[in-house]
Amino acid sequence: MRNGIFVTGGSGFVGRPLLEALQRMGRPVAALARSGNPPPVQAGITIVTGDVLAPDTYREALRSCDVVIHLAAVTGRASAAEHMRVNVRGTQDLLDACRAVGVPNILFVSSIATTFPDIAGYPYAEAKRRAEEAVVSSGLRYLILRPTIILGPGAPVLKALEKLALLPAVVVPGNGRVRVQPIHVDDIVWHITETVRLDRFTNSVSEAGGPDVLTMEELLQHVRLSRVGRTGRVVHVPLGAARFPLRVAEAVGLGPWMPISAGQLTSFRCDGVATNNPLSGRPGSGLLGMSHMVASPPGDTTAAARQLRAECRVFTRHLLGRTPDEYVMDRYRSAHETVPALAAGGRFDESLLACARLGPLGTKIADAYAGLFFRHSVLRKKLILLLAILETRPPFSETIDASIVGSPPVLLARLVLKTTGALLSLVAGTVIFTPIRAALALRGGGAR
Amino acid sequence: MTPTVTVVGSGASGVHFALTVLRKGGSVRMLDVGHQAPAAVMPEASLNDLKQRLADPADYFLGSRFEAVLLPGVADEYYGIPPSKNFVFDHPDGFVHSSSGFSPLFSFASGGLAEAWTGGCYPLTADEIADFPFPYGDLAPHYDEVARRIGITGEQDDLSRFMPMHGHLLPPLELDRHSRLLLTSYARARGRLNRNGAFVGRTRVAALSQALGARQACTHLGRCLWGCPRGALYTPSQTLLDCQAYATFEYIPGLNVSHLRIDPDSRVRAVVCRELNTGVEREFPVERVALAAGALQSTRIFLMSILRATGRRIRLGGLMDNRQVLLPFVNLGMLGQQFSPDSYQYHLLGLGLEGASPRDYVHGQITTLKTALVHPLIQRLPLDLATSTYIFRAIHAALGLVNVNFRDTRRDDNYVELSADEDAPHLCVHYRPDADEPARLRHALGRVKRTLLSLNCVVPPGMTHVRPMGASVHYAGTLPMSRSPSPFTTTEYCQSREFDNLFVVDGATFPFLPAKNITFTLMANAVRVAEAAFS
Repeated sequence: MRNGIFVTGGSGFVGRPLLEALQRMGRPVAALARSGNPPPVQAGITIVTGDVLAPDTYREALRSCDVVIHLAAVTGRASAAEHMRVNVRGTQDLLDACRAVGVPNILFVSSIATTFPDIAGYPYAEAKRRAEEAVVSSGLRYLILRPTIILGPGAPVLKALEKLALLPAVVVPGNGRVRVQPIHVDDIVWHITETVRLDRFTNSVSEAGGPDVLTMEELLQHVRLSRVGRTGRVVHVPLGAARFPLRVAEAVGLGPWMPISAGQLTSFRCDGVATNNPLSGRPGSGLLGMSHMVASPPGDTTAAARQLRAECRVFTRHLLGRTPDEYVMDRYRSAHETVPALAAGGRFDESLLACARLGPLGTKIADAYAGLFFRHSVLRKKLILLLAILETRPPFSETIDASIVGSPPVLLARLVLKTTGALLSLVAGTVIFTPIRAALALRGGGAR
Repeated sequence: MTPTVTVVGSGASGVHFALTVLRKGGSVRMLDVGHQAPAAVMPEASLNDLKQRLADPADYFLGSRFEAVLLPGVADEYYGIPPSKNFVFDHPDGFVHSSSGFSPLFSFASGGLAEAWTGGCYPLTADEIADFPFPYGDLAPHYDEVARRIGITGEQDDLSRFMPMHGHLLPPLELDRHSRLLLTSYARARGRLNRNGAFVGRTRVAALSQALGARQACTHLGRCLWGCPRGALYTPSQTLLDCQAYATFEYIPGLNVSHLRIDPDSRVRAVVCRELNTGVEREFPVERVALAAGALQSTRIFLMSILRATGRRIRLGGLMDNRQVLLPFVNLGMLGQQFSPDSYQYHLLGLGLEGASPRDYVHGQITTLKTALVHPLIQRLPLDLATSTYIFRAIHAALGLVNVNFRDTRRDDNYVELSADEDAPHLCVHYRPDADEPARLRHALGRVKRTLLSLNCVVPPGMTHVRPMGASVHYAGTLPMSRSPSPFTTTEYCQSREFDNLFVVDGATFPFLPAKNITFTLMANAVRVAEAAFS
């Protein structure tokens, strides 16, 4: 019987909980995953390794499906060409494959940005609009879903909002009066599964927003309030003044380090609210409100947990020069709940940790000292445990597995350079920590 | 109905003994604690696929309590036990032992300690069984039989002088690039090395290079350490399954055997055990008993049986174990290259050193580093961990490890006894190495290092690790086979001299322990005893 559901973008922020929810429906589910970026494995879900731009990789899997849920897209800071290639051509290829094997229904997750009156210079919205047109003219039964800002613990948008909200002042591009209507990821997932369950492929467009309409400035203050316990002073940056440096930064390849892309500034001048919101009637407790939407991931509520997250970020940058993902931070935190050896040590342990927490350089200096003179320190144990976690988790594991290759002279030069850095750190560490350790020993302060 | 033979333990010796009796038409009841292996996770996935696809890879690789991470000052070994192998070493509640100079490992797993072995299968030489009270020809055919059952790969080469050839040898496993380079280097230095008594060749490994029955050939998933999900690496639980196909076989797990009930006429009347779930004591009447619980556990049961029957506390001397020394090395010819994850993960090569006498042979297993977790090694460098990780990435492909094994002999001051408490006496193990061990080790390790240097490999200073006694888990010697009918020995058929319907078919009966993994010989000897004693 043809009753399977085919999902693209199953590894994403919406995709992962959606796969869980679909799996609970009891119908066969196949998830398209690019090699190297599969969704977490769940019973009853078939992983199809392929690419939305390569229909040969998934056409066979479509044959047993009667619904396609198309989430895969590039977002944010990708180039205009990449937006067109993946979001427009990719959607077109998927639609062609559906027609070729007779898949009757498609649910396409678009964006509220397609409704903005002016999307010039915002390639994401432009591409989504064209992809919508392709869906409408595909001949398949469709439902186009245009969510507003999707929030919830771990939401990628939340990270961008945090960058603006947690500066010394709340930085608001534009006048901040633009209206938004964020929606919780669980509500989007519920809406999608209801559409599938009730076969609501009505050749229509559904704009999906949350229970409250608020201004962008209010949203940023919500984020700040949830993180630091109070709202903050607001600094408005004129959009024109913000756009130019962002464009320059993107042109020279610094885009990934900017809190926001030039195109995304459009969201700070166009209202993003759902005009025909079909989600007002979610049963039970109704739609999830702002406090749920801006909540940090579980376990991130206490000061101690926040410190562990910060520590994990600094230590991962020290070890691998990378930023840890949510999984690594969560495992690092839970290790502190289960491994007694990571508990606070003596006063000197605390000194090493205080230095290490200052940043990757502080970590390197403290670690270099501990690596030679204090191998049983809590700092070393934390770093080793983190290294162990990173070693099990791609892409960090791939970095650790990637050999440093090269001819012997090149290799030697690299090693000499690295070791010189390590020795300099050791000298710095010795200069800093020897007197501290001696002083603590003299005072009998637990300089173990 | 009382079965022909009641076997205690389901390890390598027990299952091959049982299967032989079953094939000869006898009936077997096997009593066991029997901790079960967890189901294989994603059997087709490679190690790197697992990292990609598991929702919680740290839980699988490091354990829910991160118990597989060895932190400095907490543990002294290179590697922790992977969580998927915890079942091999888990103890039942209330299990107590004490030891001095010895770190014994016990297994209560269905399949025993070899559920976590590395598959080395080395037949002993005629010289090495000179103390055994039977000729070599009595053992040799049973090596063939065990090889036929479990599938052993290997070939005739320079190491065959230390490991006689036998039948049913499968073609050797494919070599990884690093191992190939070592063999090439050996070919160049062979003449000189051989003159100095050093030989290099393929190890014999119970991992399939081609399908055998329902078991599939090794496809290089890189998961040996976590448990081969395809059954390519042999474990005794596979033979237990073969036994369970017989209607005349009864496997009863969940029982901890306490002792044997002895009749006044010195015959074993019953096996007394405790149900682990309920704590209820049960007795199984027996015709004949085969103790195969591992040398230490079989000895404990034997000592308890005598204590319960006579009130005597005796001490059994002669405990042996192979001293093992780990020598990490760097192959200069592999520096700056990418390591190959896709091969068998354990030793593919071996190193043999001739001794002053054939019994002084020293055996090394050479493992090149492939997909194992590397944080245990990275943390050993005395640098900051970022630099250590970088350096490690530069030398990963060039890293290898020689696990050097040393022979042991029976000495009375290495003994096993029961503690003095009346209610629940527990096992006490005492061990002291012989006085000349340090000199022996120093001399042999110098030879190993010089051999490695000839292969273009260097041993980094300070990295040699002498493992504690007990770590090799090749325990033997407490109830030795002997020609003379001394008390607390066994006959050539491993029959107790105290109780004539008791057989001890594990390592306890070995009168000498050569520098080799004895598992293959344990299995062959168990088959020999079953063939001879139960015809």
